[in-house]
Amino acid sequence: MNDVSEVGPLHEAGATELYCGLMRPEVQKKYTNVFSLNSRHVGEANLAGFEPLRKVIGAAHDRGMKVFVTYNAIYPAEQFDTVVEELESTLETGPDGLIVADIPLISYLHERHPEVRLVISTFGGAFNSHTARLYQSMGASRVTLPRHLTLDEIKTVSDAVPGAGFEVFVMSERCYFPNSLCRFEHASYRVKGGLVSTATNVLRSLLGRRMSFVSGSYNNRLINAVQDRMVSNSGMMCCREYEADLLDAAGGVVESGLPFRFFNTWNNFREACGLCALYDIAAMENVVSVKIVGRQSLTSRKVADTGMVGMALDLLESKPSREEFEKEMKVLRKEYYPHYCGPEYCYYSRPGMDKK
Amino acid sequence: MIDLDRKLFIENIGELPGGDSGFTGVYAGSAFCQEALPSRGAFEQLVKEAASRGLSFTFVTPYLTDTYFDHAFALAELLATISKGAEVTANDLGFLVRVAGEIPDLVPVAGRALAGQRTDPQIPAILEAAFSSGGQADMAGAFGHVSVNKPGFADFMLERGVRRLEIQNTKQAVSIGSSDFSYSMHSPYVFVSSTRFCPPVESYVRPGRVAGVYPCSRHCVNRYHRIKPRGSEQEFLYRGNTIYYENPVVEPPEGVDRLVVHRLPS
Repeated sequence: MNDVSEVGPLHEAGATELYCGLMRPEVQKKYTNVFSLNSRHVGEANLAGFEPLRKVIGAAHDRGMKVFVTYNAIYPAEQFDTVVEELESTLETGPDGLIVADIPLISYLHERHPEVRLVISTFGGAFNSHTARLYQSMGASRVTLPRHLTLDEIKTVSDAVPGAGFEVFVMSERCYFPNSLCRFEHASYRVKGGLVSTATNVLRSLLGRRMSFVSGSYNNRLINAVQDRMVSNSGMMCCREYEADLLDAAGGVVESGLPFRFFNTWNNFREACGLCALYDIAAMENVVSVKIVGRQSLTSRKVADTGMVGMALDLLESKPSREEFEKEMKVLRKEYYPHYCGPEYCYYSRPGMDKK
Repeated sequence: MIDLDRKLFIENIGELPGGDSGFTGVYAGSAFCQEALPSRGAFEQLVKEAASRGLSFTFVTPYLTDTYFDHAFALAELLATISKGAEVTANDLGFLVRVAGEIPDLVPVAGRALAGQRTDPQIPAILEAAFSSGGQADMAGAFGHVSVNKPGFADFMLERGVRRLEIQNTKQAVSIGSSDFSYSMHSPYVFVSSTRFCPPVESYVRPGRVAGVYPCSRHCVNRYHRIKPRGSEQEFLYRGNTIYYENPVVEPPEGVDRLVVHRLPS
């Protein structure tokens, strides 16, 4: 979440925990978006200072909700002292835990602040139970698993490490590349020249948090189509359109000029949904939370996503069959996102889904 | 170029170099794909043949799910019995720690995925665009950062007996900051991103494709793609599940004592 005004609506929608990041103007000016202290490189995805954070925490605690603050980047040595200073001030605001991935930062917190709950970010790359157990030994109380594990693999990892809680992704922004292995610069299009990025930067400076109307809308085919065109030409590399040549092992061209994209469209990434997968996820004893991505999204989208997940979990209480549950989830999904339900939007897709 | 120890990254026993090749050893395995790890039989044959030719052996391992973790660990244990003192390069933190702690006859090495480098080829342009005005931190060095430059990360590795780091020749200058480690630099390919969403090669351009974790089709053994984003001159190589670009090492930074040469992106 990105503003104190969201706490109430998200609580009413069923959220029990919130997560947020900080991008203070002083720090942003010093390091630019390129060295954001968390994995969101835009202002509208973050709180602007410690006082807004304090208000969020107060409002959440009044409602019995927990707040986790994310410092989930991997920091260069040149930035580490600044991160520690920011983090110490953050802890004074009273969050319930921190989301982290940087080994020295985890060690620092475990040593200096053993009382702080540490959630390992998906940037920590815990693809297996051994890595999860390592993080547990370093003080982590929860591990966020990569988007790129299958449901069976999630069960294997989470069953193998009792005592560690696990968090899995369930809604929105299904990245093509695991965060721990992706080295594409995500802020680059903010600083490159060119009409689109310049226009985006001007809009961002004028609209501030209200930029979410563009970057965080949902179920709006017009905005999504415009965004798809924008990112296909000048956005993040995972969303761009490519021309591809197929090569043989000797480097010879087998076929040239092929159109290529990692996703079919931006929407496959943006509007991803794991509602049906909750049938399996909810049955996993050590999976303690499901993550709804999109800090920069419109409040209405976050409320819708949270509400859908809440309704799905409520339905599971009545022990439906898998078929009944999936049927209900498709109805629910189409109520909120009528244009975006299908195999290509599935967070936990399975082989053969696209052939049905 | 200064006189470096040269190793060759090989993908099958037929690529083992001869005695006059200039290579003192081989790297084998896979840095980014667990599906590409060799079978036990093929691995044993490869290790023994390398030893018979007087070549050092480095077993390269990728990020791993639990299913493949055990297979990779068993190969490492086998390597220790055949070739004591051989290296295991790990790109999975949990695997690195297990090997370092439990197989004392092998030398643990931190792989490219643990080097913490920012490898996007756009970085020189970003550096110019984002940090050229006043009032900003000097982050040129930070773009060249490697993970062990941070004392906390270096200590984590040293405490576990890891004293070598595999690094890449990024477009921006690499800043090596710790003399407690040895550094191997890979050439000519630089890894940018890797995924388990690896479709069969014939599906890359098929509309309606569903991204996901699918059974391996082994297409990358003989085929890969050269891809270029519209509106950019930067070419990438997409082999199997991983994206690279080409940037051969001409003059390695001070501190690098080994060059690892790849015939194909890997």
